[in-house]
Amino acid sequence: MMTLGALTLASAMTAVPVKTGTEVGQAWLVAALPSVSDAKPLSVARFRGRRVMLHQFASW
Amino acid sequence: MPGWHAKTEALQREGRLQIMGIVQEQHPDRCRLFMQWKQMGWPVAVDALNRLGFDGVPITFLIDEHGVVRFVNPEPGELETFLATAYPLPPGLPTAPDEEEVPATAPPGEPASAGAWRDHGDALFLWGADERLGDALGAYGRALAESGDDGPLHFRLGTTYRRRYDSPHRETADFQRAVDHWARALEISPNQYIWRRRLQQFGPRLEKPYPFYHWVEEARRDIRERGDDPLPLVAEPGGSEVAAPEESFEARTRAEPDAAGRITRDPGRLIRVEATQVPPVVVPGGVARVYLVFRPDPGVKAHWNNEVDPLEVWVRPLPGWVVDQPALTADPPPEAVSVEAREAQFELKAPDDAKPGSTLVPAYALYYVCEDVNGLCLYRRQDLSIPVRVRRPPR
Repeated sequence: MMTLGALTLASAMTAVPVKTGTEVGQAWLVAALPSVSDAKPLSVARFRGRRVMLHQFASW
Repeated sequence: MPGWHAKTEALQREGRLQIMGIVQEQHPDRCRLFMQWKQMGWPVAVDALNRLGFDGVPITFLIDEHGVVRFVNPEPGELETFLATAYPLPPGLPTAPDEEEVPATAPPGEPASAGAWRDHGDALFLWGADERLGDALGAYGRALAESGDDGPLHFRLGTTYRRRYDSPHRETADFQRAVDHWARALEISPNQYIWRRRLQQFGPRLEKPYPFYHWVEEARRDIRERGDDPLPLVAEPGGSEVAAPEESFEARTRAEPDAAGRITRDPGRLIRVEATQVPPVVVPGGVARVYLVFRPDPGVKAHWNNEVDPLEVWVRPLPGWVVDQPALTADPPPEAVSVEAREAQFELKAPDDAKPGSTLVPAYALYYVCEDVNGLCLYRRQDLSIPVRVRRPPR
């Protein structure tokens, strides 16, 4: 019964359009920020079609 | 993050994983030097304004080929899971914004909301030239007038003032204004660690969790040893930005250089002095770091004479106050003459019974200055009264 419930929930969830944001299951749609190398726009969207590891960090 | 770098180098080479970074720092050029030092060749964007709103670093995300976040701060085993899992195209996936589309930097139509003014300020900061930073400050001011006190707006104002301070468009007190706005932002949101770090990097040492930019010299040495030229920095980190944290306030003693007051005074005609206090107010018993910046006045073509002793500063604490280094020096560059800004920093411990308000700390600077190239060079003393703001501790 629990398995069936979980399956139903999963299928209901997949029918809902994906939300945008930075949490698991959300589409990362953050606007471009300047690249540190040339100050030109850079965003994760450039890498659609590829698997991305994104680090938020600081050099300190 | 460097740990991940070693683990993912091969995956990136094989084309199985794209690495990208977003750096939460005031100075993107320092990150460029860091990347050069660590030989990290992947693309990095800078979020100096903290537009993304993250309140700490590091955070690592794994994002699938459709742009959907699948893991946040993954364990090493979860990277394998991520790479081995097939992720179907989710329904209703929004279209990614075109990254080449830079927002327009024209002001919003009146009347405009706080959000519209904030976005306009962001567009000017991110995509406008340094001469538009004053317009960005104006836009954030309009946003603040619409929204009331707002932490992210104060943080943006602080970041913009500091960037203008580092630019040729600098105006008097830009650094102090940056510190004031960062401190206000942190008062509003004390758990925002990105904002806290931006203030802490400028001291005082008792407040610092780590040195911040002590790695710069080591990086340059290593890069030169490899036969490369280190990438240049816009603002050279020094003083508090490279100093180790301190667990207790320590005063060092040195002899006063002009105790008898015999050196002829420069009333500020040749060298302009600006003081900045971090944090902007100190509580009784607390510590503040004071930045003194000395700039030769271009109006009289003043310049430093570097063939003699370096600039020296003496700070005379008031009764009950303690200075960590009453005598300071600012070393000159190798050229015989120069016009750069020179900085001296010291820390000041307020007495437990310090009165709220502004206290003037007496100090003086001694320097060799010339009025024009090949003109008259003089040894001069400039007397200073450094305002230090004190307030009651919060109850």
